[in-house]
Amino acid sequence: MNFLAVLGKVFLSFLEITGKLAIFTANSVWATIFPRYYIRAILRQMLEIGYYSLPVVGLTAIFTGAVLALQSYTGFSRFNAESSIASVVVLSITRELGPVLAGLMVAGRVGAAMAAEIGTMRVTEQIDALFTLSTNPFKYLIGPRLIAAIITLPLLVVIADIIGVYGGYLVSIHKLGFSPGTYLRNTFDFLEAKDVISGLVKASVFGFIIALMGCYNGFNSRGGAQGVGQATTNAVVSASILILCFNYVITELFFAVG
Amino acid sequence: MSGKEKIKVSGLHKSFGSKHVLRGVDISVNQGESLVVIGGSGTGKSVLIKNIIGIMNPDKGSIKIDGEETSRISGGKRDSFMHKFGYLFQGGALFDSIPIWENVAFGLIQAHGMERKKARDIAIQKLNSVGLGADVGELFSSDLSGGMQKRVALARAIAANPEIIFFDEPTTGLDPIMADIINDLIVQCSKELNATTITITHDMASTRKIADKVAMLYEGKIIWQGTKEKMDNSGNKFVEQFIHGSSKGPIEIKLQDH
Repeated sequence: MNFLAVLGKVFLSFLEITGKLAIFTANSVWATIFPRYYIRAILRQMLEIGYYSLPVVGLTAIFTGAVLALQSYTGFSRFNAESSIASVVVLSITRELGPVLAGLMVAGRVGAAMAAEIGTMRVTEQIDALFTLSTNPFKYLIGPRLIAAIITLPLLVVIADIIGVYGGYLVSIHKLGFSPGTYLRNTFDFLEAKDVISGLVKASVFGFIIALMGCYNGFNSRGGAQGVGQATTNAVVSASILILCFNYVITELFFAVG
Repeated sequence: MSGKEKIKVSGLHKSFGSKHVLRGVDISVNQGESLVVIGGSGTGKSVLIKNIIGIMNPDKGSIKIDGEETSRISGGKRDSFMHKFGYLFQGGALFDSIPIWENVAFGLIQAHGMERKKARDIAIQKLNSVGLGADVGELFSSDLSGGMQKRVALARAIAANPEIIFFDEPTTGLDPIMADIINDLIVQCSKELNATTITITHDMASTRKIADKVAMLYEGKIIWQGTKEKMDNSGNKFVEQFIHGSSKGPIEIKLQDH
């Protein structure tokens, strides 16, 4: 009996959170699509999400590309398939590692910052203050973050793709002794528009997820410093898990086998 | 005082889960009048004014502003009512990401669509009227003392010349001299604007300075109201205990055992 009560309580709590998140998402999308648009806030967020994330995303991409070339070489050289290394690097980076790693890095850097900033605004009554100044908090705080994240994540991923491929190129040419011309030919011969586009679509969806989770957890934080800390953790964890889930779903949509 | 009824609250109820905070509050405030609601910590004073301004929605009851029911309105109609209000938050609730002048001008720019330069001039004027120089306008809220933050919050509350102003614990956390300065500023600004005001406080010095009329909230109901002159001879044991700050009397503070 006790077990059933606990199970019921957990299930009801799950439904409550799902419902709250669904309503929050609907309000956020509504506020994002329809005017008024806060252009200054959007540009500021684009700078925050895109420009300031460049170093961390770039470093992640270059080392990922480099290690991918090295690992592929040690594996493929066993059955004389070294010529496939360039294709493996470019396809892995553009389809999967570019968007996923950029998404996870931005979730850690930007999602946490959004939750902390909006959470602090919540507990210090700044969100209530917006309301009393006739300003819709969804339009002023959440809309610009969603728009900025949806636009800038694909741009970050394009850069991550280029840097990642370059990382693989550096290792292949300078360490593994490949010829630059052959390596570049192998890179572009097997690359299709769909590979890059699927990565960019993923990036936009991940941008939406990161901003939504950051804003949702910040907006609903309660209490003081502890509540804001909890919101920050929840934002990063939930965004990371959702990124991995949606990565599978989008891959399935683009590259379904059979 | 014209005597015209500006705010009328009847039978207001508000609960949070099983906690019944407001249990049928009735108050009315006339045009140009200053009502001070007194009561102990946790009696629901903040909840009362947040329901009146629309930050919270009541469970039951009626709130009329200028004879129009406002407890269930939303969207554009709510916005048009919000233009009538100013609100001074207990902790100031200044936006820490923008300079002080923009905090004061926020409602003018965002809600009234005023050009930034003109709004800035008005903000500096309002800062002057609360005793702060133009140089303060360039600072951020983290650069200011508690007293200065309260003054800026007051300047923001009166920036759009509201008809109704709410003051939430305006003197909490200030030394007695600064508290008296804030009280004087509140009286002066309210008179200049001929505004109707509701202040919630447990500071009796503040009450005596600001109030035309006093109401006491206890256990979710208004248990006494009258002019401030009548407060000292109210004949109400609860009011007497509260204004003398005595631990002996009908009001029992529940101390939890751990």
